[in-house]
Amino acid sequence: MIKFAILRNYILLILLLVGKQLLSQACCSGGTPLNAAMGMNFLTKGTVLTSLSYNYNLLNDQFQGSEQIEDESRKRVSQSILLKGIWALSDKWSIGATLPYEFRMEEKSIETENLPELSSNGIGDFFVQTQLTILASNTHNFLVATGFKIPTGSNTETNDLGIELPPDLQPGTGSWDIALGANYQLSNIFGGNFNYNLSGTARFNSTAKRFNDEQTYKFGNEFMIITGFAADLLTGSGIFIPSLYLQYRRTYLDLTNGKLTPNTGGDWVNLIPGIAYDFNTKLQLLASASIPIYRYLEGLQLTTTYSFFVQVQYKFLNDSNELQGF
Amino acid sequence: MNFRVFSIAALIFISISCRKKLQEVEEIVLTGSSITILNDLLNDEPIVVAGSGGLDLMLSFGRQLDDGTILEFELSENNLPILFTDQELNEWNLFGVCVSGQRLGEQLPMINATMGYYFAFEAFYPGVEIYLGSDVNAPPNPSGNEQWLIDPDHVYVASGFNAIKSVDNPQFLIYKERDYLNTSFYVSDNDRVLIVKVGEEIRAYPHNILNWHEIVNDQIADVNIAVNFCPLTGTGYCWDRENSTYGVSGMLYNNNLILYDRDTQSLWSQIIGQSVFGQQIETYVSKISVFETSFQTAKAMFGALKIMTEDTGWNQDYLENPYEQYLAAHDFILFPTTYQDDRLPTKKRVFGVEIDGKCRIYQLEDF
Repeated sequence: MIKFAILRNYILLILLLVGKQLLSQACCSGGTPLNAAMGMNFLTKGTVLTSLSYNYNLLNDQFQGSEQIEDESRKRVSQSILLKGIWALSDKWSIGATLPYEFRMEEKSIETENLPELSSNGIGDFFVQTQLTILASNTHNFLVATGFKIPTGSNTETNDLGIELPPDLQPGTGSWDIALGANYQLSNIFGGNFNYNLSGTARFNSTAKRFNDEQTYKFGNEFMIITGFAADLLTGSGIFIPSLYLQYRRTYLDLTNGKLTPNTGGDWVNLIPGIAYDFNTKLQLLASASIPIYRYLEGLQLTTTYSFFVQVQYKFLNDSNELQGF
Repeated sequence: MNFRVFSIAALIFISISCRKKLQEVEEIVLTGSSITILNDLLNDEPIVVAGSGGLDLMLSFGRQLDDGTILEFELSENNLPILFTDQELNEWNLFGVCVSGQRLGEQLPMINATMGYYFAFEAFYPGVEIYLGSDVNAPPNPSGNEQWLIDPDHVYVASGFNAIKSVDNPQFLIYKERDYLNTSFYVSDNDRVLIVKVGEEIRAYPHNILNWHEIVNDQIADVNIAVNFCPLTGTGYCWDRENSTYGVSGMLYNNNLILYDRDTQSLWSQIIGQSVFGQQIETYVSKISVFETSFQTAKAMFGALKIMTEDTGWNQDYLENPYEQYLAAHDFILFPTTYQDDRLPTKKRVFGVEIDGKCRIYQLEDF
């Protein structure tokens, strides 16, 4: 039972770490930040985990370096719906895939209401991944993951005048990208109900072509570390899992035609409180928010004010797993 | 008592010394740099081009006056801001205003001219003439459609509306060298400024502020102006904005700023100086004389210079240049252009003069 709680914790975390970040590219470098929602599921051979999640990202802050510019006139909203599935081939190996649907919009003010729309929506980039559990014990657990993003989303969406939108307003990136991730978990600390997580991911982007191949564009590579605690609080009918995580994220400057693109790239530190509830061994609801506490952005950029993430998750168990509860 | 006398004497001495030193600096700046005057023809229109690489200064005016007289200019023996002498012995300043002689107070015809990067002129005017350079045959730019005056396939969205914020209430200070002898100023000597004169008022708009805002909606006397600068093409203009204000649309044509007016939300191409989309389509802007030079030259020419301050209404750091990497990559432009050739380096800073769609480029080193 303890093993369940330990391993489902980091498997879901890595799903989120690797999968979600790849699916939602940077939006003014702010992007859709990671939501460290702490669903906890351990997948033994034959188990299939599915989830449907929604992410809302409001970008209403502007920064030059670490200085916030006193202007709230610009507002951009980025939303994603993610359909995910992961299948445990064995107790060690899992494969998964995620299909996103993206909505992106920059709001217009009264003084720009007659100007062309800056919004798009559509299927985003498909993401596939593999995970390998290297270490699994009652206290120490370690997992690595690799993912590939396939450019199924459009990166040529136009506004109502037929003018192509900028890359950070497109549902897709047009590039094949690779992600690497690792997650370490220390379990049963502080009296047994707390778990400590430390995860790192790296995303390496390739170059996409735009404007009939007249321009190349590459989103900056991204590195991220997330660390924090989650607790298992047993209730009469299920388990509450509150969590608090600290995330550091660095995105390097984008490249246009191989040259650094002004006003892209930066560093973020976010606080991510979350809560999950396991109704039973199969069904879980989780929610988290991402609150920036430090931002340093290259040039002048619009960036995330806050974001939140909700997810419903269902696990199809094979016969042997059906017998194992909390 | 003796100490007080000594202090006053010392202050007077220091003041005289500083003033003398400043005068020497100004004289070195202004007289140590040669200015070349070129009487030229462009599209059969007589123009004069004045330039000085040392002063980082290029200017151009029409030479044909309303009465039909075509003036022939040479360099004035007086120091800047007096620039030209003509065959009638009138003296003209660098704003094209006659400051002595029988034509006192007359204004030379303004023409469309600006400093900027070579790629911008060749994109807007394919086959642009290069003074003392080679010619090339180039196809004309693609035309627009029912909605656009320009080819919409070369209009790109670089950012959201007002992502770059215009300055709508600029503040100014009178720059006096002596106030900053021992302290730093937010504009350094080699930084460039746009100089605008309306009536008797002269104002300087520093590039390092324009890099961040691109448009300054200002008012001088009763004239509403919009000083606009595109950091990607390096081109700067001053428009009469009448009763509207302009904002940054976030769109570019040939990498050049597209402004929108807040009255009708029509779009305006900076280099063309014309509305290219919306209610005002095909309307031309009314341009006001502006030129670009270094802060050092501007100080030397005008003494106590009225310069836009960092108090823009936005708490930004103007010592940082967001286009530093862009400028360092000499052959790099952000978006595809309608036309490009390699007669000159892509981002070579040149002076472009345009009359009725025909453009000629002058290079600083030829002056």
